[in-house]
Amino acid sequence: MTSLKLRTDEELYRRIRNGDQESVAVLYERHREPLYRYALHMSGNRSTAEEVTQEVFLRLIAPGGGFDDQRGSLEAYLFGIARNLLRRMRPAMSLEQAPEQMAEPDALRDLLQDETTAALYRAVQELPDAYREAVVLCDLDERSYEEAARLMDCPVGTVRSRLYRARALLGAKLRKASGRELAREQRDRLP
Amino acid sequence: MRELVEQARIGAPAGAELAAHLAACPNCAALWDTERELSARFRQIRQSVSAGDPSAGRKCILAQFQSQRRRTLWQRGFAWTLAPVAVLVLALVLLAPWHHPARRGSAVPANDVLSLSLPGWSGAAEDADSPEIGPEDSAGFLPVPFVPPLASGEAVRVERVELPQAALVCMGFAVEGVSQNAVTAEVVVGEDGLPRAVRLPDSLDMQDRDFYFN
Ligand SMILES: [Zn+2]
Repeated sequence: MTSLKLRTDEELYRRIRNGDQESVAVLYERHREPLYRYALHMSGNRSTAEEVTQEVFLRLIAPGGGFDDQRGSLEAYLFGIARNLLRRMRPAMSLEQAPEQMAEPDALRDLLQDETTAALYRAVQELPDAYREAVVLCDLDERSYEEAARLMDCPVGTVRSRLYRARALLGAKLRKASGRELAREQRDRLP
Repeated sequence: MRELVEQARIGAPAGAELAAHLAACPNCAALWDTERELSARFRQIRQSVSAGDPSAGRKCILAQFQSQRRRTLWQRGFAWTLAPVAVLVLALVLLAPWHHPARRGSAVPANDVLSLSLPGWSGAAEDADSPEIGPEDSAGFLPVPFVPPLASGEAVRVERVELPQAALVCMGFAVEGVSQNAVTAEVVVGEDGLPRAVRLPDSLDMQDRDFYFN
């Protein structure tokens, strides 16, 4: 197992295709958490995240699996599966949609006590897919632009501009939310 | 502007030049504060996430892998049992009077067709310890079992033939919903006229193929 941990994803995948179960376990350990976090922040829903993570691995080990190392890394392939699953599970959303039309994201409900941070997290869920993905990978998962570009299958410049645009939208919402909170605090202080 | 956002995003302090600009420009100062607040709140979100216990999920994946593996091994055994039948069908098709000679390709060195070196080519599928030489390394050709290996430098022909789907299944190709219909396949034929390898032409999606021999 220890020596397997030193193997690349692509080597482990080849071993899996030859029936090696330990390689499945090593790849699972390696990619489960990042995939879970990605699916969680993309969907805002814990059970969706669990379901997607599990389904990604089931597809990875399915007979005849479609991974081709000439076309990209195994990690990008796994994230691609997750992206497709999430798209199918989540109806298309746009910024025009009223926030109240969306289900309340349950992902961090118990953990985000701060109202403004919770509002920010909701605003992330309302972003268009491509912008949300840039925020999720670069800001919520602290990936470099290069890594995010590999996983998003687009140029680094595109990642950067999507991220800046997303942050500008989120910044505006944050100011609004902070303003509301400030007004409420002032109201509460009134006799 | 980009520098400002980037510095604020990573939580780095403003350099002397940027600090001087922020002091003089209320717009940029507001943007700087917002960006830094965004990053601080993202940090808070990151710290709130826990991926939970992996053991149940791992157990499920490994169990699924095991059951698939058992099924594949069974299918492989089944395929090898039927493989001689498939070879017979291939040989009969190649020798059949209706097999049109115009479909015959010209003879070329085996290496040009099967883009791999040939040691143990006909037995490659049996060699479980050589995972690097899979059928996909050989231009999509799957070796025909129970035939003598090609001689080094032997010329081969590629012929297009109509094969019963069942024969392809015996050869290890996954064919959706096996029926009585014939499928066009390409067969590598040695100088002795014996079939050595088979593949489905490119018109069929390579992704959908499943090689039981890998
Ligand atoms: Zn300015």
